[in-house]
Amino acid sequence: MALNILIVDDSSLTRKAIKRIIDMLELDVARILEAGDGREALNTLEQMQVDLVLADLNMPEMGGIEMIYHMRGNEETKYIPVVVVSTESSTTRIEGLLADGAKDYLHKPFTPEEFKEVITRTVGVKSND
Amino acid sequence: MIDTQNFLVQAMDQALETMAFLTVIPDEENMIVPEKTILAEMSFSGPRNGTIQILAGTDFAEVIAENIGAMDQVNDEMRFDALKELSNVTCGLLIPMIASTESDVFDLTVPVVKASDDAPNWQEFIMQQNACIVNVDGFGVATRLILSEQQT
Repeated sequence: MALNILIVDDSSLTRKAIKRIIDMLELDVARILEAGDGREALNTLEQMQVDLVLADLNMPEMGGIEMIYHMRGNEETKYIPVVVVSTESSTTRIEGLLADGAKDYLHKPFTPEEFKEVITRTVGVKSND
Repeated sequence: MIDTQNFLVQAMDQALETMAFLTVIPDEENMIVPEKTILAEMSFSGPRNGTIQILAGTDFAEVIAENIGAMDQVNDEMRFDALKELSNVTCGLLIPMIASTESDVFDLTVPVVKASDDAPNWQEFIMQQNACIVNVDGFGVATRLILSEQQT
């Protein structure tokens, strides 16, 4: 099944870089959607079917932690896997994120190989490369 | 005493290499000193509090943006975005170096940039205490770590 992936990051360059890596990995993707912060992401989730969310934590308006909290409180979005893609390195905070509903965590900066490993693990699909 | 300024350079070097395929060169002679500068800044708070600053030229910010986004043409917004993301990733790599344990929790601000007349010029910036100059593939880049409290 082709995936709809939502990239949530306030850096448009980072969103572009992630899109490029997804293209390189030749995952079965239907659409790649983008949001600049958590609030924009929640609006997108209300309107579109999304299979995977890749979200930064430190963003203006609404950060990733608050976004996950809102997603988990909504029947429509509570089961959508969220991979946190962030510079966060505190084991306390990462364990907290996973306990609060994030599916996985990818530390910035990451290589395409690390990205592939996390995405494959999260959505249970293998890329075609 | 721990050389925290050196940690900042190490963190930025690692960030540049992974994000933008650029490396810090140990040569302070042959580099372009920026005329039009952009300052990126972000702060952290927790067991240690401080701010990191990165001052670079618009040409350097353009190269980072091109490399991160694999683009041929970039605008000012992308240049600013590139330097913000460099400071964000550098700060994320620096914090484990200055933290006492892996479980230490720090809060980070969203990175901000100042450009044109709002940004300090190169000479002003490098004269400040704790300023470090590095050569990144021929571009002069200055960094500064301001710790507001000693480690507890």
